Amino acid sequence: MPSSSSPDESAGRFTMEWISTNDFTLPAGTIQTTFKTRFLSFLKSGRASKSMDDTLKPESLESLPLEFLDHLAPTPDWKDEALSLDEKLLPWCESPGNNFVLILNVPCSGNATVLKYWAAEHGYRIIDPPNPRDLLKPDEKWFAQFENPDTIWVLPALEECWLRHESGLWLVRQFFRRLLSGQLGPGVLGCGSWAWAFFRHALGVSAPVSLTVRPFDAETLRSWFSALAFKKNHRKIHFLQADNGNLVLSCGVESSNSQNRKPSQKPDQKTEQSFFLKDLAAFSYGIPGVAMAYWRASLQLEPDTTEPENTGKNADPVRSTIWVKPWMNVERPGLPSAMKRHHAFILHNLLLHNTLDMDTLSKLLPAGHHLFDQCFYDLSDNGLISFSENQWQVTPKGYPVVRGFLKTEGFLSDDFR
Amino acid sequence: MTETEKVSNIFSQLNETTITQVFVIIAVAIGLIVFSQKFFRWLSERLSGRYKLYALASVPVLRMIIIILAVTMIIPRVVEPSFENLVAVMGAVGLALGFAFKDYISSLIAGVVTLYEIPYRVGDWIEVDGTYGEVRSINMRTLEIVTPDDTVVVIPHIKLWDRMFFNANDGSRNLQCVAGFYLHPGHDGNQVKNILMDVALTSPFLKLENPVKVVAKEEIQGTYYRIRAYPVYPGDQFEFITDLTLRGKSALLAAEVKFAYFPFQSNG
Repeated sequence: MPSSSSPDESAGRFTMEWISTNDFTLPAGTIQTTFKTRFLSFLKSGRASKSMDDTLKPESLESLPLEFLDHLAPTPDWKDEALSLDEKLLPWCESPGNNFVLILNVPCSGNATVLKYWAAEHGYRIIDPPNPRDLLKPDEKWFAQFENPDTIWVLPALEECWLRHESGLWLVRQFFRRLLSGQLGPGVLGCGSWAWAFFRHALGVSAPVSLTVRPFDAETLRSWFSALAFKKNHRKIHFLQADNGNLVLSCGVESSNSQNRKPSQKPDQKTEQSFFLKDLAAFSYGIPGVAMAYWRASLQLEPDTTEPENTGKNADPVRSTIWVKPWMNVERPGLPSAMKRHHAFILHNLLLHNTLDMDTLSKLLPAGHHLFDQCFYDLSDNGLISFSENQWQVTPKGYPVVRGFLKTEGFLSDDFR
Repeated sequence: MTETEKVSNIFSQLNETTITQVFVIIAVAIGLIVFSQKFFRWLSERLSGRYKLYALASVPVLRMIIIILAVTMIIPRVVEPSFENLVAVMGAVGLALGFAFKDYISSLIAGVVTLYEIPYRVGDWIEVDGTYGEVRSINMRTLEIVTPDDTVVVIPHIKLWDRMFFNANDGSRNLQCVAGFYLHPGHDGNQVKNILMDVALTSPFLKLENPVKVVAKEEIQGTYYRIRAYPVYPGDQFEFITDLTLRGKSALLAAEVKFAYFPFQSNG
């Protein structure tokens, strides 16, 4: 696993590590924050959520402008991480007699995109999902993509190939029947972790080899955030916790005139390490997409230092400090005050299928879906789900809250506990 | 010593101070009972799953403990705590209650028995004498259930002695629901079983960790299929059965399976 002091980081590189799902362990947070978060969540339950940010936000700091934010913490496109799969998958692909290997896609992890890039990089066949409209009737045409069983196929997202509808299991049943009998030839199967949990319970399937990306703990997040910030910006930047000046992370190389730093900014002195990333890793379940969403929301700047053009190599070193909100002050989505079964059904269906358009989603909900209109508004208003490109999905910031809620309510969740 | 003097001696300590103490004890006990009821209700709203049920089930137990403590504190203050005095008072009280409040006392005792036998808890779905509903509260003498028609039924615990109580979930969140379909005998049984299995598996109400069964039986009306499955929320049992029934009917009609009409007639 890469560490904050590795040579890779200084060069702005970062490598994801893929592990067997049996070796998966969630990152732990600090005891103090875990207790505080649970206690506050317990007290807040049954009432409308209120952001803690409003009460604790330091007046003097501002959020970063989007352009500057994209510069320092760009949303990952996962293309650079594609080759990280080589170590585990290439030996598997080259050894004969294998049937399939499963890549579990945790929501917001970007695993499906990484897998897609990996397949494209090596020239393997990428299997496209069927149109959702075709999923409710038996149709074998989709299997034509698997012809020529001598070359490896890659299906990045099996969760897009079924619907939790009485007529929506036909294709996936056929798929597993052919896959397990070896008719499809060797392939790499990507599947959402929630959908896979459903298939395991409902269809009784299992995978001989299953991989997922190692959860990002504090050290991994430090390396990753540093590498991303280093991509477009090579000067030294210190990320300091806003309430106590503790060092969250630093990246880049020291500029010659860095002595001009303000007295309040003391990164050159022996600063204590912040626990922000440890708490972030634990809260986000080590999922990179979730951690990145919160990381972007926690970065702040002092006024008048927000000009994106000042982030170049010759920028004033005073502007080389980015402040990070204390973890307890970072705004987190809350559950709607009147949470009902209908909210849970929407959220569970979205996690089972990753994304769904309104028409399809309404077919998966119980009869009387006019009752659900208010629920969409509630969930969207609370930042738990979002609508983009005609698709509903659970937001990265909402995922930890949604997962915790569904699990507590007794819904089947993925196996990453 | 005359009989009157004997009786008055039993209550010899009954003066103004003692009476005040007794009232204070009763007031504190009532206050604690009310507080515990409100607190555990507040707590249960913030908990889910089995913890919610535990919180609700604690209310009658706690109330019993408070009452026992209060009585234990009151008796020595009112009665000279000698063996003869206690026997005399208990005997007189027992005789009076035995005649006047036999059923009432029997219900109270049955209420105590329920605290350790636990045949039902708050949140359980039970049926007594043909009345089915969710246990809303367990009081000292009675339990209250709310039927699906939102009617509160008060049942004395005394029924516990000689009636059968049917408990559908017995303190857990596992409550089996059954949706039935009468089909015309002329059909492919495996196809119907697969259709109904998929109907159950794809219901958003379904608790997936629990087993799903589709069973069939030939009856005089036709072939009777039943889906046996568990909802995530026991309280959703009627919506769950409705969902299974409506979607099952729709899927069977789409597969051109004929439904049975009583008597002995098919829709074909």
